[in-house]
Amino acid sequence: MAQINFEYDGFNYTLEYTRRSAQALQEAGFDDSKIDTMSLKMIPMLFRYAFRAHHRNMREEKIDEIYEKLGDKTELIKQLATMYYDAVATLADEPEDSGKVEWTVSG
Amino acid sequence: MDGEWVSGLLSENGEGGGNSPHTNLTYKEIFDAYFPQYLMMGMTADQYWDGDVYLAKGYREAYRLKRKEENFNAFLHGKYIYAALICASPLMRSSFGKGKVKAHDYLDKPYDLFEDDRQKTEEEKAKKHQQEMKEKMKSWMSKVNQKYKK
Repeated sequence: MAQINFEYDGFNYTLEYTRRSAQALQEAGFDDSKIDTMSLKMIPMLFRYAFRAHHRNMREEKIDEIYEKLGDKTELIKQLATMYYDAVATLADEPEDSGKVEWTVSG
Repeated sequence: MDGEWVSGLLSENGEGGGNSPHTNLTYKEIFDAYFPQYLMMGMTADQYWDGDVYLAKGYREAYRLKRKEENFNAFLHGKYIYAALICASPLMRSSFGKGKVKAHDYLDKPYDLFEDDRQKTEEEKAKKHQQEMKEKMKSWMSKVNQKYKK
Protein backbone atom coordinates (compact mmCIF):
# COMPACT_ATOMS: atom_id res chain seq x y z
CA MET A 1 0.00 0.00 0.00
CA ALA A 2 1.41 3.38 -0.97
CA GLN A 3 -0.21 6.47 0.46
CA ILE A 4 0.85 9.98 1.36
CA ASN A 5 -0.46 11.17 4.73
CA PHE A 6 -0.36 14.63 6.26
CA GLU A 7 -2.30 16.93 8.55
CA TYR A 8 -3.52 20.33 7.44
CA ASP A 9 -5.79 22.75 9.27
CA GLY A 10 -6.68 20.11 11.88
CA PHE A 11 -7.68 17.46 9.33
CA ASN A 12 -5.85 14.29 8.37
CA TYR A 13 -5.44 13.73 4.64
CA THR A 14 -4.55 10.60 2.73
CA LEU A 15 -3.47 10.78 -0.88
CA GLU A 16 -3.62 7.61 -2.93
CA TYR A 17 -4.06 6.48 -6.51
CA THR A 18 -6.63 3.78 -7.18
CA ARG A 19 -7.24 2.46 -10.69
CA ARG A 20 -10.40 4.55 -10.91
CA SER A 21 -8.67 7.81 -9.99
CA ALA A 22 -5.63 7.05 -12.19
CA GLN A 23 -7.96 6.46 -15.14
CA ALA A 24 -9.87 9.66 -14.36
CA LEU A 25 -6.62 11.63 -14.29
CA GLN A 26 -5.57 10.32 -17.68
CA GLU A 27 -8.99 10.97 -19.16
CA ALA A 28 -8.78 14.55 -17.89
CA GLY A 29 -5.76 15.04 -20.15
CA PHE A 30 -2.83 14.07 -17.96
CA ASP A 31 0.04 12.80 -20.05
CA ASP A 32 2.98 11.42 -18.08
CA SER A 33 5.26 11.60 -21.11
CA LYS A 34 4.93 15.40 -21.08
CA ILE A 35 5.44 15.86 -17.37
CA ASP A 36 8.73 17.75 -17.92
CA THR A 37 7.55 20.14 -20.60
CA MET A 38 4.08 20.82 -19.28
CA SER A 39 4.83 20.66 -15.59
CA LEU A 40 2.91 23.82 -14.73
CA LYS A 41 -0.32 22.18 -15.78
CA MET A 42 0.44 18.50 -15.23
CA ILE A 43 1.88 18.50 -11.74
CA PRO A 44 -1.04 20.24 -9.98
CA MET A 45 -3.33 17.81 -11.84
CA LEU A 46 -1.36 14.86 -10.55
CA PHE A 47 -1.70 16.26 -7.02
CA ARG A 48 -5.40 17.11 -7.35
CA TYR A 49 -6.54 13.68 -8.53
CA ALA A 50 -4.69 11.94 -5.69
CA PHE A 51 -7.40 13.33 -3.35
CA ARG A 52 -10.18 11.49 -5.19
CA ALA A 53 -9.84 8.13 -3.44
CA HIS A 54 -10.30 9.49 0.12
CA HIS A 55 -11.49 13.09 -0.19
CA ARG A 56 -13.68 13.10 -3.25
CA ASN A 57 -15.55 16.32 -2.51
CA MET A 58 -12.59 18.57 -1.83
CA ARG A 59 -12.70 21.96 -3.50
CA GLU A 60 -9.95 22.64 -6.06
CA GLU A 61 -8.98 25.92 -4.39
CA LYS A 62 -8.45 24.13 -1.08
CA ILE A 63 -6.31 21.47 -2.78
CA ASP A 64 -4.22 24.13 -4.52
CA GLU A 65 -3.81 25.95 -1.21
CA ILE A 66 -2.52 22.74 0.42
CA TYR A 67 -0.20 22.11 -2.51
CA GLU A 68 1.38 25.53 -2.11
CA LYS A 69 2.13 24.86 1.53
CA LEU A 70 3.50 21.31 1.32
CA GLY A 71 7.27 20.93 1.65
CA ASP A 72 9.72 18.77 -0.34
CA LYS A 73 7.75 19.02 -3.58
CA THR A 74 10.30 17.10 -5.64
CA GLU A 75 9.89 14.02 -3.46
CA LEU A 76 6.11 14.57 -3.32
CA ILE A 77 5.78 14.63 -7.13
CA LYS A 78 8.08 11.62 -7.46
CA GLN A 79 5.92 9.66 -5.01
CA LEU A 80 2.68 10.71 -6.69
CA ALA A 81 4.02 9.74 -10.12
CA THR A 82 5.07 6.33 -8.76
CA MET A 83 1.61 5.78 -7.26
CA TYR A 84 -0.03 6.76 -10.56
CA TYR A 85 2.28 4.46 -12.51
CA ASP A 86 1.75 1.58 -10.06
CA ALA A 87 -1.99 1.54 -10.79
CA VAL A 88 -1.00 -0.11 -14.07
CA ALA A 89 2.36 -1.64 -13.20
CA THR A 90 0.93 -3.78 -10.38
CA LEU A 91 -1.25 -5.63 -12.89
CA ALA A 92 1.71 -7.43 -14.42
CA ASP A 93 4.62 -9.45 -13.12
CA GLU A 94 8.10 -8.04 -12.72
CA PRO A 95 10.65 -9.67 -15.04
CA GLU A 96 12.47 -12.69 -13.57
CA ASP A 97 15.70 -11.78 -11.77
CA SER A 98 17.81 -13.36 -14.49
CA GLY A 99 16.12 -11.27 -17.21
CA LYS A 100 16.26 -7.98 -15.35
CA VAL A 101 18.29 -5.12 -16.82
CA GLU A 102 20.11 -3.19 -14.10
CA TRP A 103 20.06 0.61 -14.20
CA THR A 104 21.73 3.45 -12.32
CA VAL A 105 21.13 7.14 -11.78
CA SER A 106 23.76 9.64 -12.88
CA GLY A 107 24.21 13.38 -13.14
CA MET B 1 -2.52 -19.59 -18.93
CA ASP B 2 -0.57 -18.81 -15.73
CA GLY B 3 1.74 -15.85 -15.81
CA GLU B 4 1.87 -15.29 -19.54
CA TRP B 5 -1.44 -13.53 -19.95
CA VAL B 6 -0.83 -11.41 -16.89
CA SER B 7 2.28 -9.80 -18.33
CA GLY B 8 1.42 -10.13 -22.03
CA LEU B 9 -0.66 -7.01 -22.43
CA LEU B 10 1.84 -4.66 -20.87
CA SER B 11 4.78 -5.82 -22.98
CA GLU B 12 3.20 -6.46 -26.39
CA ASN B 13 3.18 -2.91 -27.71
CA GLY B 14 6.10 -1.90 -25.57
CA GLU B 15 7.52 1.05 -27.50
CA GLY B 16 7.27 3.23 -24.39
CA GLY B 17 6.09 6.84 -24.71
CA GLY B 18 2.40 7.55 -25.18
CA ASN B 19 0.12 7.88 -22.26
CA SER B 20 0.84 4.58 -20.50
CA PRO B 21 4.01 3.40 -18.86
CA HIS B 22 4.72 0.51 -21.24
CA THR B 23 2.27 0.63 -24.10
CA ASN B 24 0.34 2.89 -26.37
CA LEU B 25 -2.90 1.74 -24.78
CA THR B 26 -4.76 4.07 -22.45
CA TYR B 27 -5.20 3.25 -18.76
CA LYS B 28 -8.88 2.58 -19.43
CA GLU B 29 -8.05 0.01 -22.12
CA ILE B 30 -5.50 -1.72 -19.91
CA PHE B 31 -7.74 -1.74 -16.81
CA ASP B 32 -10.74 -3.00 -18.77
CA ALA B 33 -8.67 -5.76 -20.37
CA TYR B 34 -7.33 -7.04 -17.04
CA PHE B 35 -10.56 -6.63 -15.11
CA PRO B 36 -12.19 -10.02 -15.97
CA GLN B 37 -8.97 -11.86 -15.21
CA TYR B 38 -8.75 -10.40 -11.72
CA LEU B 39 -12.45 -11.12 -11.13
CA MET B 40 -11.70 -14.72 -12.03
CA MET B 41 -8.91 -14.76 -9.43
CA GLY B 42 -11.43 -13.75 -6.77
CA MET B 43 -10.87 -10.00 -6.55
CA THR B 44 -14.05 -7.93 -6.14
CA ALA B 45 -14.87 -5.03 -8.46
CA ASP B 46 -14.51 -2.64 -5.53
CA GLN B 47 -11.05 -3.95 -4.70
CA TYR B 48 -9.98 -3.69 -8.33
CA TRP B 49 -11.21 -0.18 -9.05
CA ASP B 50 -11.20 1.56 -5.68
CA GLY B 51 -8.95 -0.53 -3.46
CA ASP B 52 -5.23 -0.69 -2.84
CA VAL B 53 -3.57 -1.22 -6.25
CA TYR B 54 -0.94 -3.51 -4.69
CA LEU B 55 -3.63 -6.06 -3.79
CA ALA B 56 -3.41 -7.28 -7.39
CA LYS B 57 0.03 -8.75 -6.68
CA GLY B 58 -1.35 -10.75 -3.74
CA TYR B 59 -4.23 -12.09 -5.79
CA ARG B 60 -1.89 -13.07 -8.59
CA GLU B 61 0.42 -14.94 -6.24
CA ALA B 62 -2.54 -16.62 -4.50
CA TYR B 63 -3.90 -17.68 -7.88
CA ARG B 64 -0.52 -19.14 -8.82
CA LEU B 65 -0.40 -21.13 -5.57
CA LYS B 66 -3.95 -22.34 -6.13
CA ARG B 67 -3.08 -23.53 -9.65
CA LYS B 68 0.02 -25.25 -8.29
CA GLU B 69 -2.05 -27.06 -5.68
CA GLU B 70 -4.66 -28.07 -8.26
CA ASN B 71 -1.92 -29.43 -10.46
CA PHE B 72 -0.44 -31.40 -7.57
CA ASN B 73 -3.87 -32.80 -6.67
CA ALA B 74 -4.44 -33.91 -10.26
CA PHE B 75 -1.04 -35.60 -10.24
CA LEU B 76 -1.80 -37.33 -6.93
CA HIS B 77 -5.16 -38.46 -8.24
CA GLY B 78 -3.44 -40.02 -11.25
CA LYS B 79 -0.92 -41.71 -8.99
CA TYR B 80 -3.67 -43.37 -6.91
CA ILE B 81 -5.48 -44.51 -10.06
CA TYR B 82 -2.23 -45.94 -11.39
CA ALA B 83 -1.62 -47.80 -8.09
CA ALA B 84 -5.18 -49.19 -8.21
CA LEU B 85 -4.66 -50.39 -11.79
CA ILE B 86 -1.45 -52.15 -10.85
CA CYS B 87 -3.19 -53.89 -7.93
CA ALA B 88 -6.04 -54.99 -10.18
CA SER B 89 -3.81 -56.01 -13.10
CA PRO B 90 -3.67 -59.76 -12.16
CA LEU B 91 -7.48 -59.85 -12.47
CA MET B 92 -7.25 -58.34 -15.94
CA ARG B 93 -4.75 -60.99 -16.99
CA SER B 94 -6.85 -63.85 -15.52
CA SER B 95 -9.08 -64.06 -18.56
CA PHE B 96 -6.07 -65.31 -20.55
CA GLY B 97 -4.68 -67.79 -17.99
CA LYS B 98 -5.88 -70.64 -15.92
CA GLY B 99 -6.39 -71.04 -12.22
CA LYS B 100 -7.58 -68.71 -9.53
CA VAL B 101 -6.01 -65.26 -9.64
CA LYS B 102 -6.07 -62.77 -6.80
CA ALA B 103 -5.63 -59.01 -7.02
CA HIS B 104 -2.74 -57.40 -5.16
CA ASP B 105 -3.66 -55.53 -2.02
CA TYR B 106 -4.29 -51.82 -2.51
CA LEU B 107 -2.24 -49.31 -0.49
CA ASP B 108 -3.15 -49.65 3.18
CA LYS B 109 -2.66 -45.92 3.81
CA PRO B 110 -2.39 -42.73 1.73
CA TYR B 111 0.98 -41.55 0.39
CA ASP B 112 3.02 -39.61 2.88
CA LEU B 113 2.99 -36.10 1.44
CA PHE B 114 5.69 -34.88 3.78
CA GLU B 115 8.07 -37.80 3.35
CA ASP B 116 10.73 -35.62 1.68
CA ASP B 117 10.74 -33.15 4.57
CA ARG B 118 11.00 -35.95 7.10
CA GLN B 119 13.80 -37.57 5.12
CA LYS B 120 15.71 -34.29 5.08
CA THR B 121 15.37 -33.97 8.87
CA GLU B 122 16.69 -37.51 9.34
CA GLU B 123 19.65 -36.76 7.08
CA GLU B 124 20.41 -33.59 9.01
CA LYS B 125 20.26 -35.52 12.30
CA ALA B 126 22.62 -38.18 10.95
CA LYS B 127 25.05 -35.51 9.73
CA LYS B 128 24.99 -33.78 13.11
CA HIS B 129 25.60 -37.07 14.89
CA GLN B 130 28.51 -37.84 12.55
CA GLN B 131 30.03 -34.44 13.22
CA GLU B 132 29.77 -34.96 17.00
CA MET B 133 31.44 -38.35 16.74
CA LYS B 134 34.23 -36.80 14.66
CA GLU B 135 34.80 -34.12 17.31
CA LYS B 136 34.91 -36.71 20.09
CA MET B 137 37.35 -38.82 18.13
CA LYS B 138 39.57 -35.81 17.50
CA SER B 139 39.73 -34.85 21.15
CA TRP B 140 40.39 -38.45 22.16
CA MET B 141 43.22 -38.71 19.58
CA SER B 142 44.83 -35.49 20.77
CA LYS B 143 44.70 -36.76 24.37
CA VAL B 144 46.34 -40.03 23.34
CA ASN B 145 49.01 -38.19 21.35
CA GLN B 146 49.81 -35.94 24.30
CA LYS B 147 50.14 -38.97 26.59
CA TYR B 148 52.65 -40.68 24.27
CA LYS B 149 54.68 -37.48 23.74
CA LYS B 150 55.43 -37.44 27.42
